[in-house]
Amino acid sequence: MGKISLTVPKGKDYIGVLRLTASSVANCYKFSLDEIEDIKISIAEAAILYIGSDVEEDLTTSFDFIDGELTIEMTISQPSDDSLSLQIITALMDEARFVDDILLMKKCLKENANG
Amino acid sequence: MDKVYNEELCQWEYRPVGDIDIQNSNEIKKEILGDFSEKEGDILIDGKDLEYIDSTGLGAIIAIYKEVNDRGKKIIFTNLAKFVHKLFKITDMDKLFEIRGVENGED
Amino acid sequence: MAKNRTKKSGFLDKEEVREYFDKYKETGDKEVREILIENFLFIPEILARKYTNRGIEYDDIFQVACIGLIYAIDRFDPDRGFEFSSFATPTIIGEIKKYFRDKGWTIKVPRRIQETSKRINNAKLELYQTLGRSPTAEDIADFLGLSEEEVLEVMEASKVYSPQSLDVTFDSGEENEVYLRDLIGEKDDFFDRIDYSDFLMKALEKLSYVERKILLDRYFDKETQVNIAKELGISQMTVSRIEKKVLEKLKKDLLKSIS
Repeated sequence: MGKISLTVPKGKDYIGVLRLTASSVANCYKFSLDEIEDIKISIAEAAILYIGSDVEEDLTTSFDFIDGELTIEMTISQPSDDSLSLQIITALMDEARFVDDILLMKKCLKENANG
Repeated sequence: MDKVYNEELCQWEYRPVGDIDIQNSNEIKKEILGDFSEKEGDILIDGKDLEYIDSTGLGAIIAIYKEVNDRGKKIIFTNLAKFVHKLFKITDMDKLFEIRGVENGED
Repeated sequence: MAKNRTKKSGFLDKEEVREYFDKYKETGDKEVREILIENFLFIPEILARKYTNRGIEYDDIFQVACIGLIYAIDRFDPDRGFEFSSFATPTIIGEIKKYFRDKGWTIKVPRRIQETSKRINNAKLELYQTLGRSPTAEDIADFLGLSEEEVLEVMEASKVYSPQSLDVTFDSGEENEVYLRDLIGEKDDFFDRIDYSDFLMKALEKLSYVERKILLDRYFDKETQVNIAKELGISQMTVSRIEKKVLEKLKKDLLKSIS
């Protein structure tokens, strides 16, 4: 699967769209339900950061899966303080950092001993 | 949200159902602060039916904490789901409240 | 216009309903609309009761439902051949749902989603044991005979659930939970079960002159409590008290006659 991209306007009503899409994408790569939950929560928290910011442009979220690693990029700039949202994202994702005006998050697929 | 004022223990007791998140955290904060301004007692939140809190919910609780703490009262959480308790720990909020009884008795 | 009303006492038979709607369509006369509103006030009352929930006041929902009733009356086309009550119900429910959504209250999750969610959680625990790892949606789906989509959607449903579905359970507090959809049905059955004109006629007959006058003046003529008080030679507070009491009585009687 190639890169998947999703753009939504600013508003709390779109968080559900992001979450459900994320769960669908993560599921394609066989993440476990618990991992999917972590990803959904992180995306929602990132969306909350975005909603709380002054940015008016739509939010673009992209998903890419390379070498067992799901990379999620969202057009969100780093907030000035260490917000609760960031604390949660950092705790739930394997990696989370800002690169220019993009929030980059990664979740690694644990090798499931699949029988 | 189910609520009652416990005269004996001088505390407000709440039982939120579902999530406290961006959809309702503001209303819940206003409701609890409103109740508190009427009767200043401890705030007990029974988390038995509470499935999730997001950062806005946590922010609301912090706002309540500030107000309540200023008046010498405390916030108590009971029957927290494991995941909610985990969120409190991630954000260091578990130090602000009295937490009694977490699901499965684990951390 | 006000003087006619006492003759009719505020309830309409089918022909009169049709007449009033035609007249309202033709003239847009708000007083005609008032009569229609009063005549159909039982619809918002019933629907508001169904949606009353923990943390949400009946009075608030009733007010919202009345707004829906007014919209429905404005939009109703009597030529289309529908019964007004079956036309009004979705409009009123729509207003109630919008109110819920704007208020952002926690809503009761539909029962079937609750049940499927429980099954998924149980399956998750069981599969974790047997597989020795955290299960995927595919694992759960295969185990429960659901599609992967369903599994993902149910897991998401309690978060994004907005009252689009009619399956809002009515918490009667007892074992018998009633599905709104069953009550309303595809046709008019439910509303035909009570003869509204009959009910209101009997109810109005039971009221004293003062009670009846207050009720009708307020709801037909939008008379102020102050003016009614002057006419009757009593205080405005008394008028307010009586009005409240009468409405309470009517609501109680109405609900008794349905159950």
